[in-house]
This record gives sequence, C-alpha cells and structure tokens, in this order.
Amino acid sequence: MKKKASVGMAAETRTGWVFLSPAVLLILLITIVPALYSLWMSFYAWDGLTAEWRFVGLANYQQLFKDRILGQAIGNTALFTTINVVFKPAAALALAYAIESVSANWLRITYRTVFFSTSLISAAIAAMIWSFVYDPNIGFLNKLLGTSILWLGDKNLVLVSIATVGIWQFLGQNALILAAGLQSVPRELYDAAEMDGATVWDKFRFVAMPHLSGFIAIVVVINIINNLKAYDLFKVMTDGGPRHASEVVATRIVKVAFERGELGYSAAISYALLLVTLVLVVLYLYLTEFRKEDR
Amino acid sequence: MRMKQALLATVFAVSVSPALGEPINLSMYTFYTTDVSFYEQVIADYQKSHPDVTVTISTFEAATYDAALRTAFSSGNVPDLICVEPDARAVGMYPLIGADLLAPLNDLYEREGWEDKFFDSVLSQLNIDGTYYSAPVSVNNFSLFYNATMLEKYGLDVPNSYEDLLHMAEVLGKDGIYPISFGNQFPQRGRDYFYMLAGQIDHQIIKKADSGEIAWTDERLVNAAQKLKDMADDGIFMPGINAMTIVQNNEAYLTGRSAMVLSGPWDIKPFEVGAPEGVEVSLMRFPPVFDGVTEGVSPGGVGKNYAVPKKGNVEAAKDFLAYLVSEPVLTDYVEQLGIMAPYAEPNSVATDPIQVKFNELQATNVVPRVLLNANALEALGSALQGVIAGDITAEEGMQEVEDAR
Repeated sequence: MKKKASVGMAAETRTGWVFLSPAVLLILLITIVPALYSLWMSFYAWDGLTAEWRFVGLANYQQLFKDRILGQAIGNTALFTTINVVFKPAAALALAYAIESVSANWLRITYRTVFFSTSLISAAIAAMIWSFVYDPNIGFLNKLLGTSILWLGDKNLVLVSIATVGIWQFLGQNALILAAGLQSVPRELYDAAEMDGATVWDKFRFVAMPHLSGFIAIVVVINIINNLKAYDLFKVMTDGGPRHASEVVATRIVKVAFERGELGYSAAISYALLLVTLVLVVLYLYLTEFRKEDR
Repeated sequence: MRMKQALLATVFAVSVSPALGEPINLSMYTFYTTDVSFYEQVIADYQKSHPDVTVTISTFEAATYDAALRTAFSSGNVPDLICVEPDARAVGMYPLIGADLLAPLNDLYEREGWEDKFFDSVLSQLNIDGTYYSAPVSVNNFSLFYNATMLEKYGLDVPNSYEDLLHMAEVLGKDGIYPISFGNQFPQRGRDYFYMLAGQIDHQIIKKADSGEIAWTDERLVNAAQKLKDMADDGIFMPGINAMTIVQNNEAYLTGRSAMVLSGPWDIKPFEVGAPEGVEVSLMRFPPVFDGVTEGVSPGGVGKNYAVPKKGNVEAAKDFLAYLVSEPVLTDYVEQLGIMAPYAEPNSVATDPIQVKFNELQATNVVPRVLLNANALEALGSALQGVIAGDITAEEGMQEVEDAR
C-alpha cells in the first residue's frame, strides 16, 4: 500500500513536470541562459562586433568603483527609488483609503478606474506628455504657478520632476493593490471600533493597517524593483541630463553598451544592479514579512 | 527619369558585373525607414538589369539598429551593404573601421570619379588617412530657418552680426518673442552650435581638437563656449535651453514665439507645412558672431552613408553602392524625398526655394559636426549644458572635455 502511494506520487510529480516543462524550457531559454551568458560576458572585454572576447577577470567589476558618472547614476537611482518607495505607497494608501471610504458603489468604481487608467499609458507616452507639462516657457505647470522654473533643466529639480511623473503614473495601480487589502478587512471590525469611539485615524491605524502589511510589502517591493531599473521616463524626458543630474543606472548601462560598445562592462554594471536589488528586496522582506512569521 | 535610371542600370550591368549568370544575393541594412519604398523601386530596377542579382533590404528602427548590426557582426551573418553613421557611436563608422570590419572603397571612388564629384566637406569627413570606407547618398548642413514675415513686421533685416542679433532681441523682446529657440535637453544641438561657433574662428578647429593636435582648452574653443553662454544671457536664445527638446524648440518657432531656429533639410517640409497661414519661411547661414570674423559657417557633412563589410559579397555590393550613388538614382532621390545629394548635379532638380538655398550653403563653409572620440563627445555635451546653465565657466567646461578625452 505504502509502495503504491509512493509510485502514485512519483507519477503525479512526473505529470507535473511534463506540464511544467514547456514553461521551464521557455524561462530557461529566454531568461536563465541569457542571464548566465551576460554573467559570463561580465568577465570579458567585448565590443559586440567581433568574435574576440578578451578575458579581464574582475577588471570590469573594479571599474565600477572608479566610474565617476556611474557613481552619480547610483546616487540618482537611490534618491529616485527612495522618493518612489516612500511617497508613492504613502500617497497610494491615502488614496485607497479615501476611495474605499466612498459609500456609493458606482462612484468608488469610477474613482478606481480613473486613477488606475494612468498606469495603462506607456511610460514613453507619459514622458512626452509631461515634457510639455514641464515646458519652461509654455508648460501647464509654469502657467499654473506663474513661474518660469526649469523643471527638467535644473540639475537640482530634474530628479524630483521625473519622480513625480512616476508617482502620477503608478499611484492608481498601487492604490488598487492597497484597496484590495482594505476590502479584506472585515466590516465588523470597523463597526466594533466605531462602537468603542474610534476616530477615522484610529480605525485606519488600528483596524486597517494590521491587515495591510502584506499588501504594503508587495507595493514596496514592486517599487524597489521597478524604480531601481527605471529607464523609459529618463530616456525620453532627459536622457540623463542635464550634466548627468538624471543619469540613472539603467540609462548608464545602455549608454556604456550601445554608445561606447563596452558590453562586458555594461554586463558587470547590470549584475551589480541585480545584486543590490536582491539585497534590498530580501532585506525588506526579512524586516517586514519573514520576521513577522517567525514571531 | 525612370527611363534614364533603367538605362543606367543596364549600362552598369554590362560594364561592372564580371560573373553574369551566377546568382548573387545581396542584403542591405538601413535604419532610414522612410527610404524603403524608394529603395524597393531602385532595387527592382537594378534587378531587372542584373537578373543574376537579388537585393534584400532590411530596415530597422534607429533605436534597434545598433543591436541588429552588432548581432550580425558578432554572429558572422554580415549584410553586404550597411548604413552607418559617420561618427564615433558604438556601431558608427569609426568603431567598425577600428575593428577592421569594413572594406576600403578607394577603387570605387577612383572608378566612379567620386573624388572629383563629392563636396569637399564629404571628402574631408570620409577620408580616413587616405582610405575611404563608405559613400554617402545624402548630405546635410545646419542653417537658420527664419520667419521672414515676422522680421518684415518688426522692420528687421536678416542678422549679419552679433550686434544685429542683439538688436533683434531688443525689438522682438518687447512682444515676448526671442530671436532663436534652441533646445538642448538632449545635448546634440548644443554641440552643433559649438561646432558652428568654433568653426567660424577656424574651419578645422574641431577636427584638430578631436585628433589631439590642439587641446580642448585652446583659447578659441573656450571663446566659442563662452559665446554660447553670452547668447543665452543676452536674450538671443529663448530661455530654458537645457529644459527644452528639439521638438519643443521647433514648436516655439512654428508658433511664433521665436523668429529663427537652427535645423537641417529634414525640417523643410515640417516647417513649410506647419507654418501658420501667410507666414513665409526662409533660410540663411548663421551670421558671424565674433569680432573680425566675416563669414558664417554651417555645421554639417555626410548624412545617409553606406559601407561594405569585408565579410560580405564585397564586389557585388560595391557595384550596387555605385548604382545607389549614381546621378539618375540620386536625382530621383532628391525629387522624391527632398534630400541633398553628396554632389551638385542631382541637386539641380530641386525647386523648393529652401531646398535650393540648403544646396547653395552646402557647397562652401560647411564645418564638421562629428567627433571620433566618444568620451570627448559625451563630455562636450555635458560641459556645454553646464556652461549654458552657469554651473561652470567656459574654461572649466573645456577642461572637462580635455580630461575626458
């Protein structure tokens, strides 16, 4: 009987693998093999034009510490990611809470749709729209404020200006995820809190928030990953300028690879970025989710 | 003209194809997607007179072209004829020459008499230590489009000096209009201005700095960078230079917020079609802006440019390239697409007055607008943004370029 069960398990596993194999094969071919190929490439100097790969060991990785523009790009990426990771989930939470507080069902759905719609626009289109909003002479923003601020031309402002576009575009999407979390809070808990005299803030802080931590973690992790590798907005709006003030790691990788033809070095930068992303995500999940499960 | 073209193709077939009968497949890569329908017709004509030759054209968006060429070269599946930028970009012409991937075309230049035909600016740009590795099918130069109706309305003549530009700024400024809109958010246009201003002082100065013959900190180059800053500070340029794209600066010109804009022949149609009703669009050379300089220059040179990779079917590709550069084909090219051919004869069919003016300006005083040193190229764009914004001085900017070289 025991033996039969184990044979049954093996057959089930086998069937599972058969079903999985096309996807696994595809992932291997499209993701794993190119990733390993570029890891291999990161130890070589290669211009991508000839068959000649020159082994340079860790030289490409050493170069990371000497590259002044890359240093600037890393600082910009960190600041951009921080702005997005701090402000976007916070604003999305407030928005989600506000939307979910609306009692009329049709209005709530309308709000959700309107705010979510911006995330359906491609980043390139969003960037072009906002380039005109930020136009120093006839831009909507300067007209509205009565100013002549160089939103994309001032090295101290450009990063915040682009981050604002990112927040605008994905605020609704983040809010939708958090709204799903808010919907998972049992209605009775709010009623009970109300009977205990809880204010709106109290209900948010002590009833909603404990249910939201998992959803917030998802939003934060998505923001860390997406913003560390942010490219489209920067490419279309400023291409890293002025004077590398909006140069981020992703724009640098592409320039090093395709403008300077240093594919080995650009692969090394990519792996450094991957490592940093992994460390940050794992650290965040450890501090928030895993530790909670341990308790 | 089509008849003439077909006849020429036949003459080519008889004169230059030694192995008639043996099937030859040529592949051609380009990133000028707007040229495809024209070239499909050209290829059809060529194939009619060369029944043994089949030409396949592959077009790519500019953004993916580098990757396509790189893949082709690294895989060994190399096209026979490729469009290459005549500059230092990763798969621009010079890195390909550096990697010994392009076939010399000196024999073709000699056979076709191109050295006697092509504009001087083309030859000086494409002659790499005595060897030609590519041939252009178009050229360009940057000149000033101006709103003639606006100048007339304000009683202004076309500017011939820095003082004239200052006067324009004063007169137009009363109505919130600027003489020139200039977008340098993506720094290529800033570099073009710099090449032009430096070229007014010495036509070959950029080439000398690029090759290391002189330092980027040379006083004349510092003066050119400073002049750019002065023009911004004196209200000759519309404010917000580093925050405007080329699209935005063109828009400023078309909507009458500036009187002039620096651009090339590709903007003839957009400016003519986009100009408001009753506005007359004209073209002039950017005026001299330094004391003692009497003539302006236009940055420019080779536009669309084709090379023959060594690994391809070199001889057949050379023959086909010769056909593309031949007078009947280029004449059709000028007529149909409004481009400027690399020598004078095909351009004579141009009738649009602005196109005619561009052709006239192309013949003389065109200064190079390419750098071979990729590090200096990037540093120059960044430095000029800094100088214009007042973050660094012109001396510091040029020092940055020198350090990056």
